[in-house]
Amino acid sequence: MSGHRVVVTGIGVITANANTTAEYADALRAGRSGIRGLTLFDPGFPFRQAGQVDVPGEDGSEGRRTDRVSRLAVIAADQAVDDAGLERGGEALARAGLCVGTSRGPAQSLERLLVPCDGGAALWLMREVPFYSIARNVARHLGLSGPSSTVTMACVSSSLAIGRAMDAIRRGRTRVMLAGGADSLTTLSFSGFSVLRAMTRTTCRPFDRNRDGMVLGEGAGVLVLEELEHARARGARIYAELLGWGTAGDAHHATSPHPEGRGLAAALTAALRDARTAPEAIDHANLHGTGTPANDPAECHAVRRVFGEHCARLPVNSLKPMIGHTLGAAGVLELAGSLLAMMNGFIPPTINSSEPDPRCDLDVVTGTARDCRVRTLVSTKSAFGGANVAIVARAV
Amino acid sequence: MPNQVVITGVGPLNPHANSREALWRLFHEHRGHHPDAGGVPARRVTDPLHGVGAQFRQMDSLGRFVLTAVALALEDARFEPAPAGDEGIGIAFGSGYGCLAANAEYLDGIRQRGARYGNPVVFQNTVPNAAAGYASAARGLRGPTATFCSGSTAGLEALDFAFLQVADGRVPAMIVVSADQLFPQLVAGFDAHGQLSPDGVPRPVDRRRNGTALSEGACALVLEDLQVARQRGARIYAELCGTGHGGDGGGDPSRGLAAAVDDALSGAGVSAAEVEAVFSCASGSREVDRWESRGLREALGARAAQVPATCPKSLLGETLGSGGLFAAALAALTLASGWMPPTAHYAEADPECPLNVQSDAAHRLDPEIALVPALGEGGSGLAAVLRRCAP
Repeated sequence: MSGHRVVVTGIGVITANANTTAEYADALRAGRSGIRGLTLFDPGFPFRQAGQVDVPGEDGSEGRRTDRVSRLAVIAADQAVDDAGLERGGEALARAGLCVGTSRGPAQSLERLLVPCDGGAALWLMREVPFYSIARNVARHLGLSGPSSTVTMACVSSSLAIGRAMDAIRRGRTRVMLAGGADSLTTLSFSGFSVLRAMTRTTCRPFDRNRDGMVLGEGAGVLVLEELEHARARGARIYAELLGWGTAGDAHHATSPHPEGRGLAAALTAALRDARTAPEAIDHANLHGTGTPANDPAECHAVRRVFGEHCARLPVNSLKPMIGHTLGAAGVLELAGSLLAMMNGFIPPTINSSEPDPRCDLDVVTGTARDCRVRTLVSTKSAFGGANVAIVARAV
Repeated sequence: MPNQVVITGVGPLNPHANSREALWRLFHEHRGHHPDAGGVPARRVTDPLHGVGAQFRQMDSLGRFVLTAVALALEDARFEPAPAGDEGIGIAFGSGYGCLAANAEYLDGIRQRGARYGNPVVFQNTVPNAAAGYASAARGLRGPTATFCSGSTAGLEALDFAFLQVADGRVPAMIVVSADQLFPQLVAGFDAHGQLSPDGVPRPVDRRRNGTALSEGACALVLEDLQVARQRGARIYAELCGTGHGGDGGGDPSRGLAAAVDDALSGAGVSAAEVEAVFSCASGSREVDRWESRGLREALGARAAQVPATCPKSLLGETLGSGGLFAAALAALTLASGWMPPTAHYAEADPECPLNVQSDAAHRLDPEIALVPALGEGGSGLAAVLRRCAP
């Protein structure tokens, strides 16, 4: 799809290893992990490491208020708006649209709704439980009045939100969109991924021959997407242009990826076609890299299929060992990290990974950040239900 | 120039209708009364299993609703994706409230047995997109996929996404489906907010309206590129010629709806004066019905009070996310047949909802252009414009 060109003019993040974009860029260059022992709740397992966020100014008590996932989203959206230099109460912000992706939604409120509660609490919970409450809370906080949308696609939720927001700008529905996603750590997801045997008992080490699973995380990321001429007219700083995106289904299994990454290869191909970019023009691929035995080889297979011999010149990485698998927020947080790194001339390392797996024989950036000039990158994510999304971005 | 998109299959599933023919019959045999008048305010689908293979036994009921509606729509379209899977056909799914029941089941299990003894089969159903994933795997739908969970606009948002995929030439066909299931706390929440009619009778845009009646179910549509549909000799119900999405203008829902209608009309290249039928989202709610009328007046001007309108929720109840797709399905069938379905329980006009409602029976109006609006709780409106397709 052509139409108007879309650029990123603001980034906001809150993750286990950073509370601001500046901290995030530093942490990614230094290979600093935010994974530690979970204190938010007792997960009920002998292992309890996770990428838990310390929300500034909060003491951990929940009480009757906005769900944790909305609070994370509001923090990231606030940062993104300030980073983009959009005036509070100004017309550009007031007309902006919003697209939020989340996998578990307001999970803490949901968990409380499912136990008996008094009428007042039930009214409050009903306000917070629907997935669209996150978008509503962000829109009210910032005074946004453009089209608002909530997408959910497990671990590709925020990637899909970004793609959807790109399309809104490209077809001229709006000139500014806030797009991203949020998910919080919950007893349900910690338990669920554990009983699926997807969680590591040791360390999350994607693409490593000794990998034994993922580590959960939480957080939120928001990008300000803007129509190119609108951004130029107001003299905004431009991080990157989003050239295209693609989505495709595996049509295979509820939780396992297709062993050859069939849907991911199709999503990558669709994104490159949408971006009118040849595979050889891609300098770096930020992969999903969960660190589970099944995901990483399937993903590498798809990358090989699409990029062929170009794989020798295509450094890849995974940011999950540093921030955890943030589920619905993974797409935006990892794209945001890759854009920040691209601007600063490096590729973040896949920390903890040291012994290559022959089934993941790509140029995996391990150990320390690699200094290199990236002009065009692709970020890919995959999800439960066999959903895959790829997004292509170019430095401006 | 974007490709023309047509609707070639309709798959409705709700307590009153489980096929295109049954849906049409429900409205045509209607004699002015809700099938449930005086009954329970919330209706459940009893047997959603239809053509479901053994490998999908792990599905929750939301997944079964979706798979059943998709099967009905594909059957209606006489359309079968390639046995080995088809990258050219995608699936867009919208659910207002997602899989509350699966989440409750999983949480109950770990509360009783401990976090280490959660049921992994239930866990895979705790994300709303699981339902679309099952349908994708069962029918080999390997094209673009997206799931929306945005309240009452979820179905039309999925329609908007799917429409753009086909109109932009990314794929030749998309399946759109929307589903919601009733869940005790959800019904209690609507009740606590005073949204449910005490006598269980939805009276959209009627002065006496006192709330809506919840219902569950699913509705699926098959969208195809016009040329592709013609080549395979498909029966075409209508052209989907524009979709729109608008924001609430900072808290006034009627403005979101008006913006969405403007967007959809301009995308379709249609003026307000050309709209000949409105498939209203009014549900019997005191507020929603008023907001919708105000939004339509803002977008269509004086035409809003003249154009024939019908309120499908008077018979179907409030089906949450799928309301927009049921309305779009009825609009497509109306354009194909010329007969405009009536609104049940309409007797007293409300000056705050001045729609030209057809109340007694179906009328032969042969409309050329139909408008389907949807008002969302999350601060936005959606709209779709359909056009009669020359045979």
